[in-house]
Amino acid sequence: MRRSLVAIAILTLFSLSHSIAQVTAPLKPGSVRMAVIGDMGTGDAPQYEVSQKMAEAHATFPFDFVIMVGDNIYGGSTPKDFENKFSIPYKPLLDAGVKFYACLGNHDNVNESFYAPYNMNGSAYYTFKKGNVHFFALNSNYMDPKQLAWLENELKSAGDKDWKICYFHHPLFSSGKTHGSSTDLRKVLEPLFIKYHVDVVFAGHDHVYERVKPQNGIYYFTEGASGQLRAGDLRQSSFTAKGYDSDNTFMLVEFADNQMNFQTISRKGQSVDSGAIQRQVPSGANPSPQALYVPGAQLPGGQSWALRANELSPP
Amino acid sequence: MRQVLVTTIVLMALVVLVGTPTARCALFGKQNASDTQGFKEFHDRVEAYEKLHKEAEKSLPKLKKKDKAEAIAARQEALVNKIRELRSNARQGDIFTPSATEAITRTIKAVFAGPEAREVRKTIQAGEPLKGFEVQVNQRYPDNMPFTTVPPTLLRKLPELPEEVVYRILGPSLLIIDRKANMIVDFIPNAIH
Repeated sequence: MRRSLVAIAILTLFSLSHSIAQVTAPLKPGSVRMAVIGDMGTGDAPQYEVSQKMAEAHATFPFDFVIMVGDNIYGGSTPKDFENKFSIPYKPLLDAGVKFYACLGNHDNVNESFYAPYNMNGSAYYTFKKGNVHFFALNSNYMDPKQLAWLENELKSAGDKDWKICYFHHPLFSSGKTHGSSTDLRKVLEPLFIKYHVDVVFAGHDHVYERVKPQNGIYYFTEGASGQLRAGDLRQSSFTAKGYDSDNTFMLVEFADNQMNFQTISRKGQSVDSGAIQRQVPSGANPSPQALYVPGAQLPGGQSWALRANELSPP
Repeated sequence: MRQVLVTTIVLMALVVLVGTPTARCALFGKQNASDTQGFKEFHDRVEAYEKLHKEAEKSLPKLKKKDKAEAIAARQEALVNKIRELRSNARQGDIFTPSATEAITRTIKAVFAGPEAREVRKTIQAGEPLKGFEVQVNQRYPDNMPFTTVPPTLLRKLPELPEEVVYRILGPSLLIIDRKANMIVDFIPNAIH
């Protein structure tokens, strides 16, 4: 009897220590909600554990879709790979009607773009819109003049009324020791991002989580640890706002009017970063109504961010 | 007075002429006659391959939106086999002919000697090497191996390709890959130093 009680206590403690962190997003009615994962397609235990936490998070933060920042399937693209590295781990989400929008990483077979659940419709780069958010999924493996011309045209025609979110595999700013910033790619993409007022960029490739201080008004996130992990791979860099390299992670993001709330959650359910970004509407645009109140996002240990428009800084 | 006017007009004309990229090439000889011939030859060979690819695709059933992973893999395999059948005698140098190789190699060297050389090299060096893989025409690029990013700066300088094929870098080689078949169409060994 005593032994059973001890076992129950240990199990309870274990489940508590691994339960999902409290979701900090405001869950506003009509908001656009998504998750972000990257470098996940290993088929190994960490990918399954992260996907389990995503399913748990979905219960309290019902996101409609997931963006995948590449390296969706490692080590081949046989039907078995798609099963073990995608449709099985994300089954609870797929069954709940959550859609996935992939882009290609350096480990992905180009033919993944024809895989229906990735919603790429056979294109290595594409765009889609959810509410007041425009998404631009790019192929950073091959940024040729054709793709750049396409991107410029799409960014231009999207106007300045809504959020512009770009995502692709190779990060323009990264403090990862293994790969680091893709500076050649930055030279061709950043001028377009600045010119056409891109708000936020998501990438992967380095198997860590990193939030970069705004660069020319643009927020950059690296989420490359949703299956893979390079523990201790982050180095000190001048542009890091927050880095985490000790466990696998995924992100939850909510767009409500001109505010984007984000939270990064570890494989063990710990909230490792969170905050809000207030969109600065470029002059001349016809903005959606401004959010009147910016809630304080909680960090582990009760620490909270002091939030100001377009800036996040620890107190 | 008239002489001053004529000199001014001549100077203005020179500024306009030197200011355009074509004029710059013509004046400073950036693209010599043999390069032009090499690029032309390359373009013609690529165009011929594009036709062959389309012919191969036409003989296969189209992928449908709801097709599963099995159907995608089977179609890729069928496409590989069909292309191999249509160009069973293909050899290295069919597309990268000697004059095309010369022109493209010169372009790559110019990029590596240019102001963006550091970034370009960094991008290529970040790629993971393929150990024990010998590049051959009509061979599939191994599904389980990653790609090296082709630096955007280099892509801006190389001749543009139709959507059926892409450039790829593999160690010191520059490859042309059939995008959907993921198969090596041709390559220049030791193009990248």
